[in-house]
Amino acid sequence: MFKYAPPADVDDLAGRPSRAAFLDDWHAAIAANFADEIANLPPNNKLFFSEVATPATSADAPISWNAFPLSITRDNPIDPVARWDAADRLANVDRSPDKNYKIPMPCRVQDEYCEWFAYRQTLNGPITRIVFTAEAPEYWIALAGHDFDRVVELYRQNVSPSVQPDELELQQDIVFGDRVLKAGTYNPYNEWNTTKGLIHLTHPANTLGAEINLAARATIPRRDANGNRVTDVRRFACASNFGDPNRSSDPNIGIGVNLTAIPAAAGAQVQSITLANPVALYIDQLAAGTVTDAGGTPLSGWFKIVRGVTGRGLMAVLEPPPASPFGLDKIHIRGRALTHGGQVADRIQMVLYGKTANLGEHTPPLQRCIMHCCCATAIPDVGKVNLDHNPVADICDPVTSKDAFPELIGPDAAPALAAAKNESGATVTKLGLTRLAGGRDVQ
Amino acid sequence: MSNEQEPLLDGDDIQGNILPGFNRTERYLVAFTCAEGLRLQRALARLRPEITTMSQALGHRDDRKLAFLAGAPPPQRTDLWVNVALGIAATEALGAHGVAALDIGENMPFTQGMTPSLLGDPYAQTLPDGAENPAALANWKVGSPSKRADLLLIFAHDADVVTEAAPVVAEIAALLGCQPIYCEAGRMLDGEAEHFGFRDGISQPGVRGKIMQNGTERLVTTRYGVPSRDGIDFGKAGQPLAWPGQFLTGQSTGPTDRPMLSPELTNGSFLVFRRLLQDVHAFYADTDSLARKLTVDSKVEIDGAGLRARIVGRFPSGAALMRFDKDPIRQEDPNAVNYFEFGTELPPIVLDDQTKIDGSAADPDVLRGRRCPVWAHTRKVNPRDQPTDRGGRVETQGFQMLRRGIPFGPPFDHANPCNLRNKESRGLLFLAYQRSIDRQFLVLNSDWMNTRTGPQAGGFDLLVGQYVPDEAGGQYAPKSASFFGPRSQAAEPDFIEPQRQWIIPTGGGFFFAPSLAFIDKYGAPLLALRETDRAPA
Ligand code: HEM
Repeated sequence: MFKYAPPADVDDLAGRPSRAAFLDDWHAAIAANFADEIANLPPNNKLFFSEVATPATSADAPISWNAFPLSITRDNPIDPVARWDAADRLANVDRSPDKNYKIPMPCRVQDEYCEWFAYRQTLNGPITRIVFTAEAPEYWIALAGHDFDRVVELYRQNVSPSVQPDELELQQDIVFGDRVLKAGTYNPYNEWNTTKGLIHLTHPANTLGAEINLAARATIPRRDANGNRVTDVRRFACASNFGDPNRSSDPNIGIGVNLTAIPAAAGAQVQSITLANPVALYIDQLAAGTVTDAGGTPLSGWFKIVRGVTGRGLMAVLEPPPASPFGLDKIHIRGRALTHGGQVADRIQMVLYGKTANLGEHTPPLQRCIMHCCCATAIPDVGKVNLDHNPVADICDPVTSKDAFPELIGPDAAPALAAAKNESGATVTKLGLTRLAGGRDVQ
Repeated sequence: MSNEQEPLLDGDDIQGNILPGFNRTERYLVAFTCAEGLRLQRALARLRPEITTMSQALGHRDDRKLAFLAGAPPPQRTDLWVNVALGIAATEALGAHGVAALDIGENMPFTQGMTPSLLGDPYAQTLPDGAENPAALANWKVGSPSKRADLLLIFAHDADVVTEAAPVVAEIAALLGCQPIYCEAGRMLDGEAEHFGFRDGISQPGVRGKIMQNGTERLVTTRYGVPSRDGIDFGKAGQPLAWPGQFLTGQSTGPTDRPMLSPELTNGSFLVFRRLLQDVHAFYADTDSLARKLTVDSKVEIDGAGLRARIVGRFPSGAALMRFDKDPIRQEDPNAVNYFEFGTELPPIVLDDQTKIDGSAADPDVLRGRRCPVWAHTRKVNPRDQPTDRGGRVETQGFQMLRRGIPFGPPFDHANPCNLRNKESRGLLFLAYQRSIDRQFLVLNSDWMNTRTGPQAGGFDLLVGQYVPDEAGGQYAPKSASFFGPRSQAAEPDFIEPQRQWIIPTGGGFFFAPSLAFIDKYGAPLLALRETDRAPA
């Protein structure tokens, strides 16, 4: 029987009594996530499917993107050091279950489903190790729910031997997606995963749920105000109600899914699409020749996938191989001394895998845009800046901002707005993330 | 966008090979090693009156266009053209320290120079069989540590460039006090093809801006009345317009951008030169046998020519796979040959002069590329409308460069494979101008051509990509690509993995091609040089 496996088939509970129940629950959670997303799709647009119901028939179709946040690059187009610095700053995400007060939790701003942490021996001292992760928090929350001791062990192995169990526990209830994590249970924002180290993703949008949601909603083809199908990557992300149009990952995955399911080529066969099992976002690989000695000769064995495998990496580490006569303070990244994790992220490719099957579905009708993007009026070249993604009902401020792609909803959109607002999923979950120092606030 | 906002470029300040390009039959590249400021000043002063400017080269382009429209052969000229470019050692020796600061990006490639890490080239000095590795930087014909190229001269002529350039080369050698470390002639092949037989130089970005010519303003890139799409304006169909700041220093990158740079640093451009050796025999033999294997093992009906076209993304005539199922008999209109995207169908259009341009298809399996593979060279380096690992169309357009390459070596004699000339070296003198080597050439070369997953996953650029994985000890490893023919959605896609590298680098360098104002400033102290003073003591 088909069963959703943990990301990259990692077997963290091998030989432990907790294993069987955990694997069952993991499958059930992913299957339920798929079922919810499919249920939320319009009845005439069911091109997203789960292999629980039907097997996929194609080979894996990879969709790749770069690990360094594109939105931070857009904010810092010239100076690479400013860009790398910005990516290293922490932010806060409000996780309060009660809207009368806030519970700010630390999180990273690295929002391409890859986050990293540079370990140093002393504050501001040279970097000794950089760890990159693509692991969604849901997995660790589930794992801790089944075997908290094992989670502590994994933290001790991967983060620091000094991790104490109570340091990984929540002091108070917080919300996470549509559930509440109780005080005393696993805290995904604990200090060993934020300020002092890293084991899994923390940016509020870096979740498995987001991936499934995005793949499902991206199967809805959109039309602009003139009736033309929207096939441009950023316009499609602006027009749809998934993910963030400013990233490299979400728009890329979205249009990839959309054009694979419903090719723009006349007469081409519609395909149903799903995410390949095990469902996850992965570190694919580091580009060859990235890590060099000070003389520019490439070094091998410094960047290793330590959880998962090449092509399906969950955690990667950059550190000196055993017996190396020198450390990270002496290496270069493409000829430049290593100072930031972002230099390495620039050369990391991320990937997820789709799969298709011909389930006899018909071409779904084009739907009008459910969202749109605004930017400051003074911006001449909207392609080069970050945009605000809003439901169509929230028109761009007529004085200070403009529609980045006016053709999506057209000048006369206002009367249609109320109707669109009632369409299923027209609301965006606001992430409530605030950058702590500089940069753009993400709502 | 209205043309009014476009900047006025100084056609007498910009070197002609940057814009519009030396469209002459022959080229001659000559490089010197010299990091002595005074000698370089003298060389620049001597070269100054010879430098061919944008204004001059544009006149020739107009003549070519008229000849083309009249169905006449391209016009031949008798004058010698020359352009100049400087390596970091030369700009520093001249005291032009501001140039290094223009080298924007992450890795300062102009300052660093070509390295295996930046380029992805092999670095083992010997091959597995013990022979010298010609692709290793240390063994390069030009640009190796022992053959550093500080001053690069690019000559152009239509008939006898080497003889015509000889006196100038001799004078420069005398002024620099050294002989060239590298001289090589290039020549356009029949049909403007490169050595593998594919028409080259077809797709170039259009540059916005105007210049004054004979007292009137004219656009640098002709607008043919192609409707804008998704906010992008075009010159020819499929030729998006880019702001001059994408190629020239101190020029605007958008309608409101007003860069302030001193005159001598303005209107320069960073030049990438790669001497790429092409193994024509291996390319044909390997593609023929890979195609046979695909046909036998996977029942994919394809021959060597079909596979080669997929590797390039175009047919030999230049016709794009996205526009034709097989190579058309007649060469396409220059306005049609680039009119295609990968994921979007384009409608037929009618240009201002009433020329009708047929629309083009979208790929039925765009993620993998059934019509044109994701890993086809031209799709790798310009995925057009496609989302990429680094954004989308806007970013992709921003990576494009002005390519000015020319083949070197004799054409391969396919009819007579034993022809001794087939053993001679041949390849491409790849030359490309841009504003940022790091953010243009290196993205296309290292992040895209050399990887399996950039700009979209599915395979390496089998044609030009260099793949030297960290564990391969500095040697090439075979590059693979998923072959997505009609079986593109099969559970088991076919993989192809040529075992030989068809194109290897054997020389090159990163340069700065300065403006005429730069040459005036740094060559100026010696402009009044007397004949007898020319050769420094
Ligand atoms: C010997 C080496 C090479 C050969 C034989 C070759 C061949 C070709 C051919 C046949 C075309 C199609 C003609 C055209 O669109 O203009 C092309 C296009 C192109 N090549 Fe190469 N190429 C080589 C090296 C390179 C290198 C090193 C780069 C650098 C990144 C590069 C970048 C491009 C670009 C940007 C295009 C235009 C693609 C488009 O806009 O559609 N090529 N090449």
